Amino acid sequence: MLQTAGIDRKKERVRSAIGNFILLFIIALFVFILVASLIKMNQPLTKLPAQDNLSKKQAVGDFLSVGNLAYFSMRTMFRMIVGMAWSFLFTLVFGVLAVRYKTARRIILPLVNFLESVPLLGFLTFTTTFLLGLFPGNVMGAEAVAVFAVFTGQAWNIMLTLYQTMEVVPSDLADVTTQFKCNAWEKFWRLEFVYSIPGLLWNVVISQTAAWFALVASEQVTATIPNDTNLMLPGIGSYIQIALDRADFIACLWAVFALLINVVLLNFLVFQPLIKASYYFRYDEGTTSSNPPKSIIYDLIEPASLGHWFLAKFEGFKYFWLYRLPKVWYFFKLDFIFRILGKMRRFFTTLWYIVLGIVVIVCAIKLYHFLPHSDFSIIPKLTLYTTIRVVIAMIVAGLIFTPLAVWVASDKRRLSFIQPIGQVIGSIPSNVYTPFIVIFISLGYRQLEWWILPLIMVGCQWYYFFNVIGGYLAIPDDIKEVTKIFPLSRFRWWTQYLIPSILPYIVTAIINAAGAAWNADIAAESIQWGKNTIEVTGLGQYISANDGIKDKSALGTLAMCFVVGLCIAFVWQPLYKYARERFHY
Amino acid sequence: MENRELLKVEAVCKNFQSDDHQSDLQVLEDITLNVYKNEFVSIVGQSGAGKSTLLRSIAGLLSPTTGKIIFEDKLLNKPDPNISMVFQHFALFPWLTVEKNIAFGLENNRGLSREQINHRVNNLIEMIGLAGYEKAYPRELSGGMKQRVGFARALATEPSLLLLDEPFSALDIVTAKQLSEDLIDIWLGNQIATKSIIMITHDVQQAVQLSDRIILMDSHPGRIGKIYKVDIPRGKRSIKNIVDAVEEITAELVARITV
Repeated sequence: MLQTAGIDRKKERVRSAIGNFILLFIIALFVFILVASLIKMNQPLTKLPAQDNLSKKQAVGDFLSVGNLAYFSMRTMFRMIVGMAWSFLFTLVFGVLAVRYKTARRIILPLVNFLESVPLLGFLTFTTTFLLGLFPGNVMGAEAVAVFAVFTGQAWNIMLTLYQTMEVVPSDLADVTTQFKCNAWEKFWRLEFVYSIPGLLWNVVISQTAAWFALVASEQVTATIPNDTNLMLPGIGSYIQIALDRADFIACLWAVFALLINVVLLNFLVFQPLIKASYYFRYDEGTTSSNPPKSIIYDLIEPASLGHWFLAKFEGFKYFWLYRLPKVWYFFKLDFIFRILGKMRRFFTTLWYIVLGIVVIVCAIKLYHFLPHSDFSIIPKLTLYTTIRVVIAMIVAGLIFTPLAVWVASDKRRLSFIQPIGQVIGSIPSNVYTPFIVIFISLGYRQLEWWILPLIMVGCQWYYFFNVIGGYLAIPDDIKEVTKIFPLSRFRWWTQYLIPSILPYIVTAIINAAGAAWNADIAAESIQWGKNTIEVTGLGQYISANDGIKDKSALGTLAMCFVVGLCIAFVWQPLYKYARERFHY
Repeated sequence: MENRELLKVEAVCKNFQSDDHQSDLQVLEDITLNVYKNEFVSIVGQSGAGKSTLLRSIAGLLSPTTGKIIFEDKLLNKPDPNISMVFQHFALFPWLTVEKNIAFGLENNRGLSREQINHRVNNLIEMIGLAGYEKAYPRELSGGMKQRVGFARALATEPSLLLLDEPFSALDIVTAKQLSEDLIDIWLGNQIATKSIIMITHDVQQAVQLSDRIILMDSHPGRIGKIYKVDIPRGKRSIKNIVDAVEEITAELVARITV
């Protein structure tokens, strides 16, 4: 007996040591990425290489050397992490404002809904000018452009998740916090925030695609400084761009490989352990069909004594955060000010509509004078072409990936096997596939025309996949059992059971996919391959042809926003409302 | 027995706005009710009789449309630290361990040091029969154990009035019986500061077994229908000698059902 206890203790110590080692390794890795990138970032902008120089084969030939990719990965990863941090901060501030203050909600929600669906690529010309201005002549400015791109790829989605989960916090738990007289600050941190964590994490993972897409796209477009040169930030995205410019297929493959490693590392080292840890935060919903998440890293870290030490320290910090920090707030009577502001709701609503009206009118007049009138006649045609492409790609993607997702989700073993793979493949941004389509087209001397559809589909298909899986798993177990006891014909199984059951999720998928599809389309309508430009007629082609020309970019962007706005107001919102009210358990 | 009121509910009405925002739905009508010190009061009635609304008003979670609630001689208009509540579906925080769940109400607002909190939590864990489960998470516990945590959390703030919202109805009969007996023992043994208990239940037999008084509520709108006093001393109650009272109240309940 005594001996086995001794051996157990020894084993425990070994496991703890391994855990400590891995934990330290992960922390050191990310600290290194952050610090090293920060040091490299603070440089004059002129140190960055220009696209034109890199594209010529004889010039600085080592940009495409494989050895560079490790360093480029680090820089790209850095932007990803910083972008996520900003998205998170934004989520906390504006998500909470939207939940707590009706007035703020009126402004925040429509704006975020709109920004979520508008493709960011159209705005690059404008964000670049602004952000470069914040750090004049410094690489920081260019970095900020890329970080902002990550932000726009995720922030809206994550914020809406926080808003939605905070609205459905179980009323019993909310009652407990009221009963024990928690103030708003405590209620948020002790209940609402923790309750939202699983959903937030899941959304960060899903919206990675959008973030990587934005990152790859914005490293390669970057800055047009006064003398109009395209500067390239060191990163995987710019590597891909230069590889495309030089028509170097092998380099493209290496870049895709490097990106894959980044995606896998981030998921394996960070997201999987976090998801597993937060699994225990989940509030029971009466479904057992979802598998508990797996994470080797989590299992290894769990016994680490260092981790327990951190948690113990965290307790003290938590106390300070929850009970000491708000005292400053109450000391300055800020709660009083906010309460008064909250009471003046009607005043703010009126003010909001008046300001909105004035802003819209002023902007419309200004824009009308600013926009190039000569192009007005061609815009409707371009918009129509692009819209048709987006719609077709979305329908095809939905028709393929909805049944596929149901097939995957309906079997536990299949799900636990395919879902992680899907997550990694799903995180690969659609612009990475461009080289392959390009090779295919140029080998067969084909036109881009219909081959643009797969490029749009890879951008949006995963939203169907993940949302439908989520929807299927959320169907209560007893309903699933009912459909097994009373067998339905194939047709009725789909129309009377499955589609109604997951309709809200499908609608969410469509809304998310629409944003991604627009983005992918804008990027795909004009592709560089060596000296050739492969394009199709459309808004995306118009925007990229006029990159840097402000009035034309504005016109293209505006047309796009217009269509997206119409879709939101007249299709998605009503559809979502209908699906939510009519089909839910 | 000391006969002073702990809680006075005076002519309380509660209206909720109906879904179409046109008319108000009256849930409680003119409820007047006293709860004395050292008294166990049960409220029975059809679903939708406003039992939960009444209990939540007493808890300070809802405020009455008209009328007032007076607790310990003070007007009650927000949750009072001396009133605690136990929920039907436990309402435990899935991300907190048993001890953290129990300490939930102690951590804020009170001038307690961390040692005092730990001491109090440990005492409760012993008393309620949760020893050995301190570090467990709610999902690892059976229903009965979960509700024990629910009771411990409610008792941790040493409330003088304890509100029970169908606390045993999510448990099987044996577990429910055991837990209710444990509660009565702790309460009668003066191991806790709780003076009085109000319980909502659907189980008439359980109500008779535990209570001093039983309040039968009518529905649409909710109002007090009839009040029964259980005369048999609590220690001498058995299934056999309470059967008449149970049958009488059940018959009355059935007779009052409105469709």
